[in-house]
Amino acid sequence: MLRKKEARKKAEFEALVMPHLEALYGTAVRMTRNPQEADDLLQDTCLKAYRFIDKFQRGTNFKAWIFKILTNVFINRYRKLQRDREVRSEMERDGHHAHILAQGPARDAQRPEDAILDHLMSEDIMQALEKLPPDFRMAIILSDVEEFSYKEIAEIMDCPVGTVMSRLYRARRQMQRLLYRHAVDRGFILADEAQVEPPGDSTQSAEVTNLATYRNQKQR
Amino acid sequence: MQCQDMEKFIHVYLDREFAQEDRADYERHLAACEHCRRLARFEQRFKAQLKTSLARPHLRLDEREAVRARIMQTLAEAPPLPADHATRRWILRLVPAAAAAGVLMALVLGRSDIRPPVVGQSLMANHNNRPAEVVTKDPHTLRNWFHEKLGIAVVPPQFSDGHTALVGGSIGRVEAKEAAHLIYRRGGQEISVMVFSPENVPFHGMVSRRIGTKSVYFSYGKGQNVAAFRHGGVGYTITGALPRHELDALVRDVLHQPSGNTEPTPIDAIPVKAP
Repeated sequence: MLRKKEARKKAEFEALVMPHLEALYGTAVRMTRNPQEADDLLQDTCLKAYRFIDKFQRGTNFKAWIFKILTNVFINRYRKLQRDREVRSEMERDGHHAHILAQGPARDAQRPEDAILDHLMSEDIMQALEKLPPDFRMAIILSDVEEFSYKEIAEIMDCPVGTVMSRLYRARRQMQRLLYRHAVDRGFILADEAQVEPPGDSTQSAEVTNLATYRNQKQR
Repeated sequence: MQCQDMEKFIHVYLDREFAQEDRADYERHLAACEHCRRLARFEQRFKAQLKTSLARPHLRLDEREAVRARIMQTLAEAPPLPADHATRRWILRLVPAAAAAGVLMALVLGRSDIRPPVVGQSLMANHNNRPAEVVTKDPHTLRNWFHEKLGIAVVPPQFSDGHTALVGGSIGRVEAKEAAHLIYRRGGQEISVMVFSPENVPFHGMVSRRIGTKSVYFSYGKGQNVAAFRHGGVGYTITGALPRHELDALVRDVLHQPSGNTEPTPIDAIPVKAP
């Protein structure tokens, strides 16, 4: 009888997981940067999800629930590893806040930002993503690839919505900065256009915190 | 509101997180401001490019089936689930209070860690950074030391990466039995190889993967990865704070070498080369 119960449970679990297999596997590949480690991460996630499937409330969002497990497994497994510490400290030295856009009057004839986007290859974007710290990378994947809402991302990453907004803002800016440098190195943007990059940490004050801030500022 | 304030919320707007009223306000500003419109256009293009470039990898049917099969295999090898809530309540009614506390504790512990003891013991061995009981780079010295202490032949594996070097050994523990704990250095970190008798040492509850012809079991904890496997009648774990593909390479090296149970070739049987 126990065996039948176990078999039924496995079949139910399989039916829940299979529709999200590509999403989970794709996220695991982007996060681990290695197909073999992605496969292990996916299996660890499924093993944990299966063990705790009783905690999942039927009728609620299974995709968000299993992504939360994937995120936790990833963080527990990789965050303490030396490699990620090195990446993180490198990014922190580099400064998270950067803005590639010209702040001066628009130069319609040769906008550097358009030049960047025109020449970007998927490979360049993937490489820039890989250079982000894990929290930022996860925020980008959950929002831009998996299209979770800020509220769902906050639940998955176990943080306030304001932190999600802040991570996404900083992650996208950091990626843009990396891609901008890449475009300058490759000659897609002329050296004098590189001057339009604002100096220092000018966007620190521009960091978004929450929607209440928007409404308060709107009323000013 | 000034443009600088509007810019902060450009992603919130593009991610469709604004309420209708806020969105309408935002769009009124965009309609009147070329600078913000230009920024919004750029961010929208960038976002679209992210989505296209980072799209999920497409799994062919056979790849999808292989991933599914590996997941189901992992679940099949998982230890039985702990008793459910109703069963636990029923047990608690029948047993005296002291035993009930014990059962409850066992259930709680069982639920919190589904991995076999060998994982925790390997992680602890590598995490403690205790000095080696014998410090030597010479595999033969170490082999003799373990033979004397444990009465078994342990052949310290040699790693082909050129920077994982043997530094010594200690007596470790796997399940209730003594085991050989071989200590290596790799850069600034320690790698532990535990060599043990594999009887009654289960690897269930770990993720398994084939490396060559062998099933290798993986787990992690304390910022370290662990690989466990059997080779030539001997059990091994390799533990270290290194990425899985680098751990795989170390496992492969061990699988290509004779195991601890392989007795040395009798001296007289070694062909003598002419001087």
